[in-house]
Amino acid sequence: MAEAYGPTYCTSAHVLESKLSHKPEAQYGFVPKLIHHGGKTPCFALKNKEWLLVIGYWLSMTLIKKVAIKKVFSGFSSGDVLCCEATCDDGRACAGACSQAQSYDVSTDTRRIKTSEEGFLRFLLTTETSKIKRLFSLTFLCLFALMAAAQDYSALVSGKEKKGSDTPLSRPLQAGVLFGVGYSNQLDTYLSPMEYTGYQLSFLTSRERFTKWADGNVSFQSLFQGVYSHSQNPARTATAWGGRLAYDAGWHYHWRLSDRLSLKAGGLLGADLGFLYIARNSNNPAQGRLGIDISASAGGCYKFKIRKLPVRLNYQADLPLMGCMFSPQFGQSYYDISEGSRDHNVCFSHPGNALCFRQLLTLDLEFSRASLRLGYMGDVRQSHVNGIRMHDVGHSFMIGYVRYLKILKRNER
Amino acid sequence: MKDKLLILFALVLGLCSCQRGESEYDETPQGNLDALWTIIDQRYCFLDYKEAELGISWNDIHAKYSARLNPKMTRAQLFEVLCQMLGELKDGHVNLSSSMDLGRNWSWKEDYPLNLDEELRDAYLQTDYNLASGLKYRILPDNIAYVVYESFQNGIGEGNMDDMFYSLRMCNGMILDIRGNGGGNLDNETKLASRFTNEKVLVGYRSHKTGTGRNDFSALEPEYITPSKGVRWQKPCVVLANRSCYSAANTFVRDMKEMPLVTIMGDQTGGGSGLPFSSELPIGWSVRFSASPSFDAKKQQIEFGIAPDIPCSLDAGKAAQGIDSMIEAAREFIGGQTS
Repeated sequence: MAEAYGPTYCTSAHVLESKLSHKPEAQYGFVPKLIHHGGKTPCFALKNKEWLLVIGYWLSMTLIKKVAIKKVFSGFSSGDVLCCEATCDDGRACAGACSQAQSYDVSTDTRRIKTSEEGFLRFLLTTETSKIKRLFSLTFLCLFALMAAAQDYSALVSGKEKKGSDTPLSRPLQAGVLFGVGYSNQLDTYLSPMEYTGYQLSFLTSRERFTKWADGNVSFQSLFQGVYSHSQNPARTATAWGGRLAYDAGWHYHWRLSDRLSLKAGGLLGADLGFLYIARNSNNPAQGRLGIDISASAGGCYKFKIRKLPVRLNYQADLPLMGCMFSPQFGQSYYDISEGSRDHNVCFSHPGNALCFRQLLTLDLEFSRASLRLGYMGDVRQSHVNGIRMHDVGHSFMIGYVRYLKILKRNER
Repeated sequence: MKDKLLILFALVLGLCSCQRGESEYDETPQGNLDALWTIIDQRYCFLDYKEAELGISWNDIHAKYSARLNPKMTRAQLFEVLCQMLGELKDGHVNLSSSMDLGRNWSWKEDYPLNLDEELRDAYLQTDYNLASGLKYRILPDNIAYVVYESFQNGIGEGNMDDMFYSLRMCNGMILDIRGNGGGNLDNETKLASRFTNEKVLVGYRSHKTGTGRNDFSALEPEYITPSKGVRWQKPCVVLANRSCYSAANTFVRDMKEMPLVTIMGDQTGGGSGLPFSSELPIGWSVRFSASPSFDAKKQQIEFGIAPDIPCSLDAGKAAQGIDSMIEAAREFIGGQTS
């Protein structure tokens, strides 16, 4: 039967279906058709997620192939010409997400645009097994995901780069390393009622990179902190050694208030592990620290110049809001814990019983290849659980560097 | 806007100082006594028991010893007053330690006969005894193994015990002499006790403080000895104990009392069932105190010692003849068991 439609096909992708791969999948235009475009634009330049979807599609199609293909092939015939809509370029066709075919009715000399949905509909109506329907539904989902991915790819190739899209220069990785020395004040009533004061050495590595979310205003940050402390009691008759490792990662939303000033706010998920050891104690010589928490995080950045040198003043403050932590009971020994004794050893922590706070104020002097970072880190860890009071306060002068790195994808290397 | 930012910045910096300090006591004689009295009041696990057994009142003790202080007293004088205050508890696990002395109460052994002559014991061991880590042993002429464990501070390995028990396997019985053993590592006593049972045995209970109140304790948690996977002793065993058996040695006697084929002979042990913790005073002296009590299998206190199954003592007259009457009593008992 002849039907009259206006042709909407791409001349560059105007190839006879009969010339294409005769695999059943190809009839639906679901696979990349490299050979017909001379490999001009590599069609395998799909993103990682798209590759997963393609693989998923192939697996699902393999499963239904033996049973259903013979029954389902309908909709497109060998005389149909596959074409693509919208952008009309080789890359678009090559992405294999063509969902239309143009049929030519010889008797009436008319062409008709047939969509893959017709074929799908006929398939769904004729198939008998529900299992195959479910599998094909999965395939359908993969198809649309591929179509969406292909549209992104086509936009990229056509030069219409979306705001916040993933290009190396638009999302550099800010990687910083800081080393610090400062003052330490520690108390743990499980070990001693006295405050131990001394010095601490610390390091802090930070990684921050903007994501594609919210038009590129959201960044992902990870912080890894290590601290070693050496302190003494007020009478200087006992020494305590302490250590702590902490890792925090999370997201911030940025508000660019002006060219110079931006603020950020977000949250971090963190974990920390530490200890405090007093050698002269008997069966309570050390205290272990283990906890995870969710923190609110906020900060800002102010750019200015000192003479002609670009300078960036950064500030970030993190406040744990909730979490859980390990603590022995008031008079419970680690020997008892090792023998299987348990008594409220995992405690819910919140600002009411574990008010902690970390702030970092840094000044970046931006040179050509890297920035020199100078700063101050104030870190207050406190808890009052199971009748045991603890605080670990450190104030450190920090010095280090920051570099801006670009992450190259495989095809860019 | 700038003002608001400045105020916010000041608040944020101020948060850095929001920690509570702990300097509640002065470094004066009264401040140190108050700190010591409070540590014992809040953390010592036998306060109510000692008040009942010894007829003391910890509250009254504060006033009694505060009266002995004066602001111009020397450090040595202050140390003596504080040690005497701690001595009221009659606990070998309660000590005050300074650079000049160790305050202690050893009345749990000094007020009783020793029941041990080390030269006499060495005569039984002779000089060619076997030495397996912390264990000294030999086979006596009547085919009874004689093993001496002087301190649970001396570590013993599983391999040491395997070889020792294997080499003594043809003996009729074993005398395990822990007289004079003042305690040490609880792991060592558990390792040794596990060689004397073929099944899991309930040997006692332990609890710990859950707060600063005198009655803030956790529920009693059972303690078990599981049989060792190494060589286990299947013949009669006599454990010789005296008043010097304290702390881990006291716990060892508690455990061995529940073992089949084991008999405790000698004198009551010195006690010391509290697991000691440490703290300190503003002056810098370290204080040790019992923090976690343990009980026997019948949930009874063993802080003042464990009575033997068969009491016996060292006869001075026989000792002069080179005979250790306690070892001989143990040999006679094993002979009676195996005949």
